[in-house]
Amino acid sequence: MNFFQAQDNARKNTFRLVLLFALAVIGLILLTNLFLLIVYVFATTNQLVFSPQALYHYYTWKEFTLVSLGVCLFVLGGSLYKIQALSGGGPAIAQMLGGQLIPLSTRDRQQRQLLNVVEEMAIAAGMPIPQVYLLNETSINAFAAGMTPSSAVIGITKGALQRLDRDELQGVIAHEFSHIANGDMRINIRLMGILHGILLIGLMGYFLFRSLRFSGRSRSSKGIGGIAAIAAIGMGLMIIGYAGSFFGQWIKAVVSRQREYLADSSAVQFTRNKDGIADALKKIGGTANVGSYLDSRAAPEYSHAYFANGISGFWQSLLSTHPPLDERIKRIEPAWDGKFLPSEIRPDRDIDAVDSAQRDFSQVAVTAAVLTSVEQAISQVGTLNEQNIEYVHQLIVALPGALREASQDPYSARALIYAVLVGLQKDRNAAQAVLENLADPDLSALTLTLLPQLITLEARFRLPLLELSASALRELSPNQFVQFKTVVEQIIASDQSVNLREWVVQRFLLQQLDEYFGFRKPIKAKHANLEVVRNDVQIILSLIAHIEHREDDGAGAAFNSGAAQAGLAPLEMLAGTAFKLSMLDRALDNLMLLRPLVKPHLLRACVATIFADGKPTTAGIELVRTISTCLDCPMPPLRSAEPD
Amino acid sequence: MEISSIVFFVILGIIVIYLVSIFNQLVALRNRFKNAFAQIEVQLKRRYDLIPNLVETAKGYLKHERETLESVIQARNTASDNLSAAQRNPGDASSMQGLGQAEGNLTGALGRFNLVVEAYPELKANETMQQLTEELTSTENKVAFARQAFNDQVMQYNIYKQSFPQNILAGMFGHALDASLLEFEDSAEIQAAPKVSF
Repeated sequence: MNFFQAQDNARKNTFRLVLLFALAVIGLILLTNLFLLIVYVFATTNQLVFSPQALYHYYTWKEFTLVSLGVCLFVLGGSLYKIQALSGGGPAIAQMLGGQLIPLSTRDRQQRQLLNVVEEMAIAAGMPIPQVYLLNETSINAFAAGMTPSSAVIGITKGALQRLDRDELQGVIAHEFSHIANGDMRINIRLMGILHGILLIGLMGYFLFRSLRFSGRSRSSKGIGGIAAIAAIGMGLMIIGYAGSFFGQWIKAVVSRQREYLADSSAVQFTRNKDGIADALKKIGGTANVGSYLDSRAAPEYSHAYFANGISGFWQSLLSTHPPLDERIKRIEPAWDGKFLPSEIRPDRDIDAVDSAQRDFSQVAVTAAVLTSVEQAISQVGTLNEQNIEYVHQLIVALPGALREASQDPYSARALIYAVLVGLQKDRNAAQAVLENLADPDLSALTLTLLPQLITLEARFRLPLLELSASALRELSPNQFVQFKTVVEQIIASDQSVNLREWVVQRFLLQQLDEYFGFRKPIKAKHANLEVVRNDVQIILSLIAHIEHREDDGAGAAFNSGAAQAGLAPLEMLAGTAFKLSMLDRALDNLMLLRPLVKPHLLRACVATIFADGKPTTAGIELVRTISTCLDCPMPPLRSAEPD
Repeated sequence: MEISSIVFFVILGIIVIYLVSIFNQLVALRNRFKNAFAQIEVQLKRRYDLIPNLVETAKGYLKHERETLESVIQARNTASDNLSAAQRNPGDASSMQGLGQAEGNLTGALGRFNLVVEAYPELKANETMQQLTEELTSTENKVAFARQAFNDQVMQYNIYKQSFPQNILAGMFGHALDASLLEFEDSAEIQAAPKVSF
């Protein structure tokens, strides 16, 4: 299953869930009605009546409608509330589970290694780097949370960090990345919402029942009948609510177990390394006393997102959100002998050798995959491979030390971005004047120190560096982010003109950060074909054609080949002078509304445009990658055939 | 079942949801500033790691300034202890104040140390010394910046907690006390003092 198919399935599954939800609510309404009716009849006649005819006698449409409305409102309200609360993004969920953010500037070696693994994998996949949370638990487990790649986070237990080696960590993280890339979290959050709505009825009953205990004495004069009725209503609602949520959980578990196998196999596909993830699973099995169980109170609710079963209990086999360990291991490694691995807490000093710059590159330097065909580029979206991960690893190691260090901390990451932008200005003096007006003179000094290194930086380092910095900038407070944004805009505007490179930096960076800080709402796909966004496709393809053929006159041919691929011919290329960046922004905003299965057509058209003459340029590839990142279609680093 | 009782239950339900959302928001905001504190912690620890190296390097040159060196080390140790106390409970008024004070003292001690260094041109020219001072300065900046982020989040938490109706409910939900800002004594000094001019 490719990336787009998985995304689309996730969307369709959501539709099925809504249907299921409607059925569940109707069932609940009927049950609640029946139940209240029995209580009502009992309270008025002191007789327990169960036969429908007799009950019908006491009942009118008005009451039925009222009760139904009440239940609907209740369940719907509960669900919407929960969905809304969980949509707050990954950080909210990670914190609910008791996670502590690992600061990017951490000096703990185990944490450093983990962050390195996550960074490499994210950049290799072309996804924004997620924040990583540490759960203070001794068991071995991990989770991914968040609605969109930009707001996704990864959490991992301390036990996993201490007991797994680098390859195993990589396997576990790849598993979580697959959850992020496949859009599993969206489905899960909706499922949790629905379950919550149903559970709310049970909770309501519970509160009613409890309230009797406190008010029992004061209300004794009101008569036993009233209290008994309330007690009965409470009990009944509890039973209905809990039974309902039991079935809900069962459905959730069935869906979730399927996604786990998918994530496992993707992890193997991403890392080309069966042993990593298989050994991690074996270690969970072999660490019987701690296993993968979590103590957090919120753990059961979020069980589906973990790496392995996070909760234990009587209903485990039925309600388990994860397939049994041995079954999972056997699917990865059919020849497994059934022996789990013991795990020990790694001493700190053993960790590092592989992570530092001294890593021994005995093999020939790895490069990113060369872009050889349109299809190859599209098939890479949303996947990872060992070669790319290794390439990114070497890329990061080869980054000038000062830049790498600056990208690891929100304070200096700002200076890094300012420097990138100042370097792109026509009039650097005007841009430096903006810097001098900054409140913090040390920051502008730092910016100027970094500037020369950025001006001479090789093109292939540029996007990864932006991605690394974006990750550090998430640690800003909202106020600081707003200030940062203002300065970015001032620098860009300082020379009275905005060129495409600046626009790319701004868009690439601010779109994900805006989404992360909640200044930009996650979008809902609605356009089902490219025809609707014809004008926007025209703008984007024209732009790509002009960038690709800045130095020769092949733009027209390139554009036509892209337009043909998009199936929108006849389409006319816009003149190179006709662009306004506001126009580009709007076009991209519209294209973001495309449905998952339409997006590959657009990307194919974009790639076809740079590929028309068989020689895509680095600038063209970078632009297409930026566009695909904005569309939430993570495209891994690709290399042009031309020498760098 | 009468209309009035149904309306009652619906309203009750809405109120419950509302209360839960307030509770969750309080927890989320508290977690946010606790996480922001981790950022300060990393940088402060870095600072505390650098100082012994600095003193070690200076020792050879400053044979007659033992008192100054000792006071720096002592201030550093006190600050480090205070940080351990503060990290257990970020936002707690007394531990924030303790850390603020200890940091103020450390900055003062470093300021005196820098004055002494001024009198020893050879030490000032020492390459290790220059590197360490440089790194110390950049760590100071990062601390100040992280502290600003922390205080932003604390403010947000306090403002939310103090507005209606949270002010009535916060105590019941286990958020009785306002979180305390982290102020370093003599904030102006801390930004100026460790900057040694060469």
